[in-house]
Amino acid sequence: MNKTKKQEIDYLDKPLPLFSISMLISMVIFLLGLWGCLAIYSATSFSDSPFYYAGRQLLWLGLGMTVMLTIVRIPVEFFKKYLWMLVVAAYIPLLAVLVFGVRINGMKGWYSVGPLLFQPSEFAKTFFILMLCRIATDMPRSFKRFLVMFGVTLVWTLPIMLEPDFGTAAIYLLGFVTIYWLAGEKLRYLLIPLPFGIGGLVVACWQMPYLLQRFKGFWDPGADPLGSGWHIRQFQFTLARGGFTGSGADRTIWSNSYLPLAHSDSVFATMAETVGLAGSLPIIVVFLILAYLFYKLSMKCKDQFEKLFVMAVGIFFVVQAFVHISVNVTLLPPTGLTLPLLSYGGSSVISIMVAAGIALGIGGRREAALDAAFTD
Amino acid sequence: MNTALFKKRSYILLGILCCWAVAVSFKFFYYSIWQRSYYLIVGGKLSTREGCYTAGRGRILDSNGVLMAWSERHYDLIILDLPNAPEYREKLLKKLRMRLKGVTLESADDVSMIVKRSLSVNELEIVGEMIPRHPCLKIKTRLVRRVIEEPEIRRFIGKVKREGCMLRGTSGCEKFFDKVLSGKPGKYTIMLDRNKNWIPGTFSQIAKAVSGSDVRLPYSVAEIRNSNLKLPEG
Repeated sequence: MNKTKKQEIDYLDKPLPLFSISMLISMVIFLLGLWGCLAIYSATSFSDSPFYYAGRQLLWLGLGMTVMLTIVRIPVEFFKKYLWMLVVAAYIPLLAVLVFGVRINGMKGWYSVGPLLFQPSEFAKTFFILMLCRIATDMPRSFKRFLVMFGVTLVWTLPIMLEPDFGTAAIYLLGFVTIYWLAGEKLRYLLIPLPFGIGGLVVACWQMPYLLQRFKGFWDPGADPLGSGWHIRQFQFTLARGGFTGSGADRTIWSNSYLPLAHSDSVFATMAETVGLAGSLPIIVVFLILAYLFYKLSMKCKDQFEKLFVMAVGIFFVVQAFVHISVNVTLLPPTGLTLPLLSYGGSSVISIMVAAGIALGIGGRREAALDAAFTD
Repeated sequence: MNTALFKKRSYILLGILCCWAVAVSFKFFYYSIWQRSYYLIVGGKLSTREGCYTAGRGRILDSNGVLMAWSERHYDLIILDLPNAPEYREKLLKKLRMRLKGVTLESADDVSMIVKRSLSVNELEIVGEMIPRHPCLKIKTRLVRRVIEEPEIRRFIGKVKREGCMLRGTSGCEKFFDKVLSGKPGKYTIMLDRNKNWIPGTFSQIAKAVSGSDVRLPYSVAEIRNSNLKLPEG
């Protein structure tokens, strides 16, 4: 066994310094989760059980942190060795949900197990990233690599689009573009599927008129304020009500009375009404800091696969957050995407913790080894 | 994969995220600070309603202080905008019949139906618990003018009719003393939610109601009953 590997295993059980990057990421994730519980409480504070959703989210957060801290201890070699088994295990539920899933808000994307609902497209994200990173680092730079990565992405996003959940499918596609580009590939290859993508979007709008309504409502919400423009208008009014300092957690009148899906798809606007610009702008900064921390962690990794994976997890996480926030400030049309860690949803929280756990396990080990190398 | 290229592209991605954050922050600032008053006004128009409520109408007493005409507030349960789902309708009506006695369905106008008139205090509590789960259920208040149950007295006292937020006398003493009896209605603003229910904590009184004054007639009930008294016109 070489000295570096021995150092990594020896330092597995030693706690990292408090301000190591891994510890900082863990703390930020936990604090974001707690902040999310406050936002969810605000969104439901007028209901008969204002603590119901917030309480459940707190439980999911606790469970998620446990999952993360458990996965951190699993060596990355396990994931490398059993990658394809894990990928198949993650993909099958994605297909099966089209047959056995339940339909909620027009989307057949959940499994119902008693009182719990599971969304397989959330759990599949981590293994999708792992798989793409593996392909990107195992195959040499070539058009063939692009075809393989793009083909795999299509195979994974097709069942999601059939649910239909175009928001999540878009995140998967953005994730593919990110990993593909970070791996050093040429951007011009992406121009090839672009016309098909645009054509597909046109066909989708034609086959599913509600999609076109969403775009119309986004473009001119005043034209149909009670129909397609409703959600956009409610975002505008909710943000205005928050002002600079917000109304407070018990006075979020608009989030409780008008804003659709205030505790999930519209949680950023709810937070804006609760704590205003002053309290919500830092969330945007925190996500940026998180992206930077994941970058710094990735730079500690020597292995290309690990570097790419750690960075990709950070980018995936932050891009989804920014898409959600962009929708809530009406910079993008509604997509149905949740704000990671802040929106209500156990599947989302657990899946983020799994991805973060693997990334922190990889990066934390390298940090500990480097730390030991400097102090020994 | 080249580490230097990876580093460079990572910085570019972080730069794109920073620009995205700036664009988002600007839009956020636009709604929450810059154009805040405009969107508050437009939003207010959507949700805020001005309403009025009837002032208490004065009583009519005879020369001995016997009450001849007075007002009572009644609470009726109505269904407004009932969803066109037969299963839901049946379930709702079954629930109502189980919890309230004397449930009927009479058409009040094109959009609403009266389920039960004059709810008691207990029934109001029961309905209050059902309303959050069934947004089509509403409680409507109405002022009812009561008069002694004698035809001669009723004729003499006269009738009232509702005009907006006021009860106006249309005949007899009610008409003759209308200015004294009617008082002034109160005005308020309230925010309504999507289901047109009042949002708690948003009630704001613009003008207080001024109750009408009581009128004491110079005649007793017996005198009115026995003689054919007529009031001057106007």
